[in-house]
Amino acid sequence: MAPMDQTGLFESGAGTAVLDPPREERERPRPRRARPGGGGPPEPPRDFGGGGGRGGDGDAHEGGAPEGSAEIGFAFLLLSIATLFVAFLGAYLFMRRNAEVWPPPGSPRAPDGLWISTGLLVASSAALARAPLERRRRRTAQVRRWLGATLLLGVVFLLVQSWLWSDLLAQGLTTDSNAYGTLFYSLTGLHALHVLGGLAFLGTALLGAAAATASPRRRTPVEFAAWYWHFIGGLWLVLFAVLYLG
Amino acid sequence: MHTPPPMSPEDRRTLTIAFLIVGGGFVAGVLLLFVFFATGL
Repeated sequence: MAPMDQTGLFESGAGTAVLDPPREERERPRPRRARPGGGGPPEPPRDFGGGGGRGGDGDAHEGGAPEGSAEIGFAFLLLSIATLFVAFLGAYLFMRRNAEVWPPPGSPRAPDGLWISTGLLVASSAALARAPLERRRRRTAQVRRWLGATLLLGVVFLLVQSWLWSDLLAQGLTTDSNAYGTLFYSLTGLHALHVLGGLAFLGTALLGAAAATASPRRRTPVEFAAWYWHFIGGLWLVLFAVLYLG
Repeated sequence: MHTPPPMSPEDRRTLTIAFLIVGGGFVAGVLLLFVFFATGL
């Protein structure tokens, strides 16, 4: 059996010696772990590589949340959004199936301008696909450019949606008109809210583009913003197919 | 430059199981809707 260490530093929880280091090492005082900011100015919180490699001589395993945890949390977020839209789409399809005429008499059809909205979102997703590629190449300016282009297209998408809503309202279709009006505005409105959230997400990624390109993480806010945006774009294609083509 | 710490295998397993449960519920719900519409119940 290994001899018991006098200091207890090398004991396991059960009191059994698990290591038997050389005597000189046992008698040497144990060095303290390097603490970030221990001898210098306070260090900013490091999340998603937000520190951007600034300062710190610390432990290699002190880079914020564990690798992989954000991905799983993000998957839960997308799943919950998908559930919300499936519930509303189910309601819409149920109402449409049980109606003799759809849209109900007197209600305008979904506007042709939805093609413009669709084109804008497809174009924005195509633009955003470049941002993660450029981040991996450590080109901050290019990352900013593609994130900015996506942001701009997203804003134009919301403006077009507002124009289409005002046009429908002018034709007399309101949320109170009938189930079609309620569900049309609910689905497109909920989607627009998620686009608005996506714009905030893209804006955050744009502001942190320099930190993201310097980050050693495999996935940064640039990747997460891109996934979210593609997801919202894909969701729109489903809505477009159901509301306009269906 | 700081590398992120790895997730412990226990955490990863727990989160994966949780995701599969929730995701399975979602897929089951969508399939139920599909069956509902396909059979005209």
